[in-house]
Amino acid sequence: MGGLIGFWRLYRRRRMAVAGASALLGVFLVALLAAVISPGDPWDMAGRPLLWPGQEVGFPFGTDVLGRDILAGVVHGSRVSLAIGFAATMAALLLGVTIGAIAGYFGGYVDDVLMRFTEIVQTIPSFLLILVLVAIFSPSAVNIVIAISVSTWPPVARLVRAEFLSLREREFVQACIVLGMSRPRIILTQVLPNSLAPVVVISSVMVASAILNEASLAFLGLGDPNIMSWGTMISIGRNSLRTAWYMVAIPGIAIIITVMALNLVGEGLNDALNPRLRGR
Amino acid sequence: MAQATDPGADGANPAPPLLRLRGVSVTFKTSKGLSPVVRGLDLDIRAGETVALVGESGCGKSVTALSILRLLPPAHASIGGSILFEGRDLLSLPLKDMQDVRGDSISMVFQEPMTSLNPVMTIGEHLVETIRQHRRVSRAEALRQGIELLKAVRMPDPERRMAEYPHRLSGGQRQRVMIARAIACRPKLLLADEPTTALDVTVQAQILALLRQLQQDFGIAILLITHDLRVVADFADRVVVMYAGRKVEDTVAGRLFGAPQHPYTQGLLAATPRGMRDAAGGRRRLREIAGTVPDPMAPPPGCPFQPRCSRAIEQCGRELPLLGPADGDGLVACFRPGAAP
Repeated sequence: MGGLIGFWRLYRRRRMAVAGASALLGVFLVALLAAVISPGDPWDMAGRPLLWPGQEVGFPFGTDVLGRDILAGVVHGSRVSLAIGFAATMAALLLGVTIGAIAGYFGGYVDDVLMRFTEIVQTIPSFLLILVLVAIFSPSAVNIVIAISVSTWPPVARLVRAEFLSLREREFVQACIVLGMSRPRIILTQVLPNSLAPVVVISSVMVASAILNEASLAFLGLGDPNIMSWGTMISIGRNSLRTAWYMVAIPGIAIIITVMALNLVGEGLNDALNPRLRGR
Repeated sequence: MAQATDPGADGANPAPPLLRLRGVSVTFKTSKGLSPVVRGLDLDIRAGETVALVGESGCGKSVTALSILRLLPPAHASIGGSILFEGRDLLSLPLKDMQDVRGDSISMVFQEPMTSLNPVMTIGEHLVETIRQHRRVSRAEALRQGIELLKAVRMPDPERRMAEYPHRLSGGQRQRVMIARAIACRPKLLLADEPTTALDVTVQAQILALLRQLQQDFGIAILLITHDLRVVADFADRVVVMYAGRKVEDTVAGRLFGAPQHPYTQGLLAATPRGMRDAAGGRRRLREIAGTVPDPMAPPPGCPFQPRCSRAIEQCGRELPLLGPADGDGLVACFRPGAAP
């Protein structure tokens, strides 16, 4: 508990990090209260099509080409974007941490094989890989999550490997071997908790990029056609960009706010968790 | 005790030693070729005995301790010979059984206490996981035992220390925690690899007194690895002097200081400050041993100490002196052993 309080004391020193955390909290609240803020299905044609924001009382953000409430879309889309962002990041972390930990702890040819594989994946442009994977399999939410995680784990693996390479030589690991602990136990209970700080930092940025990736997919028409995400909304509005730009701009701003917030949080975490910056 | 301290009288004592090293050699694979670091070492440690292993840096003393617990990376070091612990050869034990020996029957204390504790775990967590590694006890019972262990290592305020993180402890306190972990499962043998080198002199004395106390309370045999002969003098029953991977002298501690036989041992003693003991002639200059330790990959022919030895004769450059009974007691590997000229 003392550690958490100390962490918050370091974190709140950066005003932008606190702003990012508040914005993120706001997005979370909107996602949580989506059914309260705008009850009903965001796909419902609720009003006259192509209403500009503020044109009619019931639709503060206006409506799209088919008369769907844009506020409802943004509110419900936050759930989809956050869910895909966090799910894809979790899956990528699971993959990356496992591969990086094994490579870094065991070293030798295990490390060589895993790292060459990691580099091969890393040389493929990640968005292209996501695009191909989603195009081959059907564009469902689960497949989008899988595709994003499969193409974004390499940096995590390399980060965790580097941490493990230095941590495994530390004397407390030797001390655990001397006390008779097995290798899986040492990896999970001793080394892993020590390597998590940079992983926590990178993961907030990964959530942001996963949200962007999902939006990009949806924009290209490869989003899950059954769920209303911010990317879906942009792709719907794309055709009338010149006449009704608000249809693209509003979900776009939602993406910008969320991604910015996640990046600011990442930066704040980095400063608070980095021991070299402590005491400044 | 007379039997236990006489390394030459194996046959006279029916009880086999706790630990018996026979012809142990350790070879490191380096980029330049094979480097033999330990060459054919024989070593016996009896239950409850303290044996000190002394020698300069690079003589193979730490490597010997690490090979007993099989801590050297197999990809980079090969171990030959046999290491019998209670009759079982540790070198041929499956890894799973070796993990059961580590920390339970044989444990080890390292030189560097500052980094030997996991920075993200409390002292209590360290002790609980150590106890539960080898004993099937509840968390509550392990916590209780942990507090007892901290009391046994004279840690002030043990209940409060349990909840603290390592960075709040001083070096001496951390070494106490490391010793508590090492004795948590009542091992029969404790390998202490320069346990006091990284500590302040006053703390050194406390830690040594603690080790001595624990040895008496629990009957633990200790293999103390050190280059500090002052530590050896009031701590060890027997002293084994190593030079260039070989045992050159093996004798009772008192005798080593009274009448060292090997010229290398004499050199080590002459290079050790002894304070007030030879105050008769006022200030006494410390003598260093000329030259350096030979390269393990290109040892000189004959006796490895011959190039640095003031007593060397022609035979020393040709033949390797074998370990033989010394004048009176113990073993020595020298063609011209005896008191310094």
